[in-house]
Amino acid sequence: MNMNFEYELKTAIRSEGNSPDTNVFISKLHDTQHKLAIKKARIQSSLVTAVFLFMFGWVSFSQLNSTVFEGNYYTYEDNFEQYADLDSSSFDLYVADMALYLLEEDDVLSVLEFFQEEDYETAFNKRQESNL
Amino acid sequence: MKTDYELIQLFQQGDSSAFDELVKRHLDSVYHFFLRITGDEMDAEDLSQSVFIKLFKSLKKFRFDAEFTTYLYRAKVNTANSYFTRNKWRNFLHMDQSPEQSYSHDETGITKKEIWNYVSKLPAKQRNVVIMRLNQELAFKEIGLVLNMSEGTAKVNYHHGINKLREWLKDEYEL
Repeated sequence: MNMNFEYELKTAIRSEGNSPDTNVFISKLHDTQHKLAIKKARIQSSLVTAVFLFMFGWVSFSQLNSTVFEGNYYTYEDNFEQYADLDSSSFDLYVADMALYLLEEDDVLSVLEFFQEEDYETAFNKRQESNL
Repeated sequence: MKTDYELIQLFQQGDSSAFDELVKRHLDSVYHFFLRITGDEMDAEDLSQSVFIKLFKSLKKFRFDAEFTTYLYRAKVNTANSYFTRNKWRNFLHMDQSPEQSYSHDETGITKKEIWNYVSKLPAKQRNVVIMRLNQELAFKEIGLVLNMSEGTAKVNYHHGINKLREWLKDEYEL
């Protein structure tokens, strides 16, 4: 019974057909291998590029992170004094230099305008008050 | 005429024409193995290509501890299993567009496609033994060598596999 069934299966899967031309098959095989090699090289170069970009991005980001303004930009206006105090000496020097430069030009009005633009007076007064 | 081992040694030393010689020597058996499974010449050729591409990569590390034909049988069975898995997905997604006329009917009315569909549903060990036995008509001892199992285990797995196939097919074909 088993043998009959096995025989029937073997008969059913039997196939008649000529093998493909060996030389054509080998040349197709070479083509496929060539394509696969190109594909592999592309994947490798893509991976190298991706790793390089990731590292470049990571290094840039870490550098940016150490130098960026760490306060909250949206509350900068409200806490002007706090931020002005952080670097008040250089800001004062900048304002003094600019004022002197404008005074040398004999233009008092532009000096006042400059102070107004910088909101220097308000900040200066507030700092004076807090120092008192 | 060089033996398979000699050709592999030449290939490992960088002579790629030795690999071409191996292909010429074994193309017929590989191609007909897959033609019996797929019933389609194009598919059989594609699967044969896939086997030889795998061999091209793996033969560089061939350790000469087994016969090349054993190695080749393993590659064929693994590729056939991949084909069955791919086909299951194709059928599941209704993407099977292969022409039905390539699957011949015999006197019992069983088609090649139906047989392999059922074979692909067998558990892995039984399936591999049934493939080797039905397709290549190998002795159980040789099947054991190819599939890393004893002759007895190969026989038992084949027995269980064939019984399941008969059970699945008997309702449809009154076997």
